[in-house]
Amino acid sequence: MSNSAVGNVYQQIIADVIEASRVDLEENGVDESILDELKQGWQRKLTAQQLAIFPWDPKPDPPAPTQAPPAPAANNGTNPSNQGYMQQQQQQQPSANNMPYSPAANNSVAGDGHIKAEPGVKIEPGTEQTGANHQAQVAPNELVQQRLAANLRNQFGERASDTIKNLQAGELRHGGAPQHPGQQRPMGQPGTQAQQANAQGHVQYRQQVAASTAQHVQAAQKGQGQYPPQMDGTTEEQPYSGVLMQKGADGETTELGRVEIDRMLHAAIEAKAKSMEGGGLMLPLKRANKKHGSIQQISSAGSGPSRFDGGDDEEDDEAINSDLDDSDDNGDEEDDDEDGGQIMLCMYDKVQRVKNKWKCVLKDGVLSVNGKDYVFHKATGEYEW
Amino acid sequence: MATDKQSFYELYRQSSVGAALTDALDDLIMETRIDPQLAMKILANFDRAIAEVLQNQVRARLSFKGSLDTYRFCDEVWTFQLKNVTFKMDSGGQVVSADKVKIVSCTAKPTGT
Repeated sequence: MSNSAVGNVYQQIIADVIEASRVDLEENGVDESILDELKQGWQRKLTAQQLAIFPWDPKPDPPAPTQAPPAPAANNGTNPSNQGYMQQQQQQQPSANNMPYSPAANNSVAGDGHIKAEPGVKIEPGTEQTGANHQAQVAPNELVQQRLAANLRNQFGERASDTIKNLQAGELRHGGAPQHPGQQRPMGQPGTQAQQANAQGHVQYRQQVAASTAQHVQAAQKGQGQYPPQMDGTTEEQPYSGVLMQKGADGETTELGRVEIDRMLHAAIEAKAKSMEGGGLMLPLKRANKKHGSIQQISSAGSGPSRFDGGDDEEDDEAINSDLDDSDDNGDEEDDDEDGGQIMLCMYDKVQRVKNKWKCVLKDGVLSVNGKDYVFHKATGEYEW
Repeated sequence: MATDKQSFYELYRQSSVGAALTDALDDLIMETRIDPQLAMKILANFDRAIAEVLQNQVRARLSFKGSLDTYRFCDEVWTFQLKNVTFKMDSGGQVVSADKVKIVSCTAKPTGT
């Protein structure tokens, strides 16, 4: 087997086909001159593929070598000029590249600067808040007292003043008291606040009960809306920031978490449904349509070769096998189509297999590999799976 | 021979010769020089011609080795996908290697009898 035999074999095939078709042409009442056109077109297409040296080529072949040297010469002649152009272009390109690159770099730097600046601005409130939290940790008692007082005052107004006084009296602190309690404090001396607290204990108890019940009612009615009045009402930065941090963190994270969980659930359900449909019994419409389309494509593409090229087999395989097999088959076939020429068409006399070693005896084959055609009368192949 | 036409494989229409003939016929059909039925008859003639020529006029032998990627046998058609194949031509001692080759092979028994 060799590539040189291909030309004569193909010429023989062409001659046989032309001769055999002469009768068919006459039967159809077609002028025989069409056969010459067919032959020329056939040979032209074979020559264009450069599969081998064909007998009908030698006539153009002698001119071809003479044409071939000028072509390289022309290429050589044009190459330097091309190289010159290329060099010029390359010389121009770096300058042209430097120009756009530097602004781009500047832009990127500027962009980075902006980007860096923005997180800085964003981070600063956070750090301030954390700083505030640290301050709150430093003086927890005062802050707790202030917050309690502020909350009570905002929610219950002057009714809470007694409770606030009670709190302050319990703590016996003066320095950390907020402004509004400070206005009320002069009414009672530090020493008498405890007495007042004792004397007003009953009233305060009722107020506290009312306050607590009112808190519960308000909490139940407003839910999370309990916080905004606190934030709006308090002028103090520390509780404001702290509440904002908590609220912002809690609210946003919980909302996002729900959405994420929903998506995860959807994905899990879909995956489970797909795994259930994996057997092919319950095919979604999309996939079924895809499959049908691929079958139609293959059948239309393989209409000429008919059943002997295995087209029908592939259809059957796709109809029966699972989705995994289908995808694999399709991928392989697509690869084959992409490879195009790398194919051997032949008859087999014997195909044997011992474990993973295959031996086959083939005959009457046409092999096209690496853009060249080969014909063989007999071939033996050994390969391992 | 008319009855024998059915016994020839259309397998070789995939080959480069068959594809070239199909393209040439397509051109003529597009120009409405011939009708498709005549083209099918010519292709049937090709099926017979290439089988006879390959059987009677080709004497070359070939051996090849490689690793088998996939194999399939259905309706008496073997389909092999080989990787890293080396073909040895007995006549010229020529060696051709290819990364990937597909072999489509029909049984030789119907034509052999």
